[in-house]
Amino acid sequence: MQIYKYKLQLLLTLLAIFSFGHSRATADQLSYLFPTNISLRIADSSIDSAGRLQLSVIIESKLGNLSDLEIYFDSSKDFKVITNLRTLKLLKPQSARKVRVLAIKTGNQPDEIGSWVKVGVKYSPDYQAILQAVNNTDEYPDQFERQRLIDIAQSNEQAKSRYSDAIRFFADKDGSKE
Amino acid sequence: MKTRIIRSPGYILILFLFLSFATIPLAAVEMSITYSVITGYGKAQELKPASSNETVVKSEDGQNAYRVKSVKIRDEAHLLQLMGGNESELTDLQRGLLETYRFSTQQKFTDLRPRVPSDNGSMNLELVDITGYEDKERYPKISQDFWPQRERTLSYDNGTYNTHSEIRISGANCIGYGPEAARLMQTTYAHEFGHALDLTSIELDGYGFDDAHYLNEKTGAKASFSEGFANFIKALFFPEEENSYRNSVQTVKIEKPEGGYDTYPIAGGQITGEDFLHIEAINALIFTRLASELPNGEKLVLDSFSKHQSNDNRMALFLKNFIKDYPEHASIAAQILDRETFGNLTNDQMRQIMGRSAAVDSYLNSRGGQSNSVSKPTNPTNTINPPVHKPGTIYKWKDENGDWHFTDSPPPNGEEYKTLKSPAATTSGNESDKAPDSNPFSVD
Repeated sequence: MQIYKYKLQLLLTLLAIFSFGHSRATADQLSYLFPTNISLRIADSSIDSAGRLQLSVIIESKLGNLSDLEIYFDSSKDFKVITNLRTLKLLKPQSARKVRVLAIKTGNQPDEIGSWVKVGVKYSPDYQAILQAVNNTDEYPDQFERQRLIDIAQSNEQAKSRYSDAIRFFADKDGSKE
Repeated sequence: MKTRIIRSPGYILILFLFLSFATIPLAAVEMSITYSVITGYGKAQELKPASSNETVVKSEDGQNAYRVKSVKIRDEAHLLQLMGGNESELTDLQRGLLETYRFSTQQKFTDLRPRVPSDNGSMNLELVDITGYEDKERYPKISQDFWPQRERTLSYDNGTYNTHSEIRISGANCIGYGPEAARLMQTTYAHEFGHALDLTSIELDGYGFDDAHYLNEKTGAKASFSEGFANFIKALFFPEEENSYRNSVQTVKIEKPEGGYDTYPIAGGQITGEDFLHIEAINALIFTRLASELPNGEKLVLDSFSKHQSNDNRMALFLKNFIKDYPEHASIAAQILDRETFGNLTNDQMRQIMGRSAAVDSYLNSRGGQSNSVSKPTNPTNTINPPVHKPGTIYKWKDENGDWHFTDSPPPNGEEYKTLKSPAATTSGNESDKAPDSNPFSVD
C-alpha cells in the first residue's frame, strides 16, 4: 500500500513539474504610476540610556509646491511621542525641512511588529505639476493609460483631496536607520 | 514611470493532474489574512531575519533586500492597531490596506470561495505595508518587488495534495494615487481573486515579447481568457469598470518583435476571426454581457465556467460549452459575441466558435449583410505627427463632448483653452535642497 502511495506522490510531482514547464504565470498588465510628490527620510536616530528616542526626519517636496502640510506622529504602545503635531504652509519644489522627534518609553510592551515611531504628513499636492508630469507623452506614451492618470488627478483635484504619506522607524532594527 | 499592474498568478506551481482527467471538486477554501510590514532595507548579504515571523525579501536589483515582518490578522481592529490604531492617521496606502481588508470580507467573496478549484485548499490575503518605501529614487525596485500578485502553490501533507493561493496587495501599483489608491487596491484584489478561481495554464509566450499586457492587446488565447475572466470578476464588484474595458477596445495593440506596439482601429482588419477573442477586454465584455443580459446570468456564467474549466481554457471553448449547457440562451449568446466582435466574424467563424444549433443558425440568418465581410487592413493609428512641444505649457481645454483634455499643444479645432503654469519642478525657488538645521522638535 505504502509503495502505491509513493508512486502516486511521484506521479503527481512529475506531472506538476511537467505542467509547470509547459505553462507560465500570467503577466503584468501595463499601468502607469504617478511621479513621487514627497520624500520622507530618517536622517539620524539615537536612543539614550534612559530609553529616549530621538529622530530627525527630512521632508522634501519632489514635485511642485506642496501646501498645508500637517506633520503628525504615532508609535507602538511602548513609546509615547512627545513632539506635538506641526504644520507648514508651503514646501517649495525640491526644498526640504527637517523635523526632530522625541519619543519616550512608556513601560508597555511593544506590539507584535516591534517598537516603532511613525512620522506622517498630510498635504495638498501640486495638482498642476502632477497633470503636467503625466501629460508627458515620452514618459507616458499610452494614451488610454495616460488619460486614466489624468482622470484620477483631476478627480482628486476637484475633490480637493489631501494626500497622506509617512515613514516608520523601527527602533529594534538597524535596517531602519539609513 | 512605466510600470506594471497586477502580476497575477506569479511563480505558479499548478497541479494539473486533476485537470486532465476530471472536474475539480468544489470545496470550501479556508481564508486567512496576513499583515506584513517592511521593517528594514539594506544589502542582501547583510540583512538577516531577526525573529521567527520575519523574512528577507530580495529586491529585483539583485543587491538589496527588505526585512519583512508578518502577523496573522484576527480582525479589523487588530489590523488597524498594527498600522497605528488611529484611522485618521493612516497613509493613503495603509488606508487602502484597511479598505481592502474590509472589502475582502464581503459576503460575495464568501459566496465565490467554494468556486476556487481545490480539493483541500486554502487562501491567504497578504496585506503588505510599504509605508516609507514608496520613494522610487531611493527604492527603485519597490514597485516590482511588491507588485500585487497571486501565487498558487502545491503542498503534500499527510498523504494529500493541497493547493494554496496567496494574494498579495500592497499598493505598489498605486503609489501617488492619493485617496484614490484605496479603490484601486480593492479592484486589484477582485481581479486577483478572479485568477484564484481559474485554472488556465497560460501559454509560454502568451503575453508576447515584453511579458506585459494591455486591456486591448492581442495576446494568447489562454492569456486573454484568463485576464478577461479576472476582469469580469472585478466588474462584478465594480460594474463601472466595464466602461474602461469598452473604451479600451476602440483600438487594438499588436506587439512588435523589436519592441513597442502598433495600434490599429479595432475593426481595421488586422484582427480577424477568432483572434478577436484573444483580446482580454473583449473577453471581459463577453462575460459581463452574458452575466447582465441573461436572466440569472451571473450564476449561469460562473456555473458553466466552473463546470468546464481546465488548463486549456479559452473563450471559444467557453462559449461552445456555455451554449451546450444553456441551449435556450444560444441566440443571446450569439448576439453578444457578434456585437462584442464588432460584427467582424463570418457566419462560419461564428458557427465554429459556438457550434451548430437552430438558435445560432436563426440568429445568423437574421444578421443580414453584415456577415462575411472582412475589413481591409489599415495602417496603425499611432503613426501620428509628433506633437509640437512647447516646454512648460500645458493647454487645458474641453472638447465638444464636454471631456477635458490636457495637451502640450493648442486644441486642434480652435476650442477655447487655458494654459497651466510652468513646470513646478523647474521653478527652483530660493531654498536650498539641503536640509537646514533647525531647533529640536520644530519645523523650520
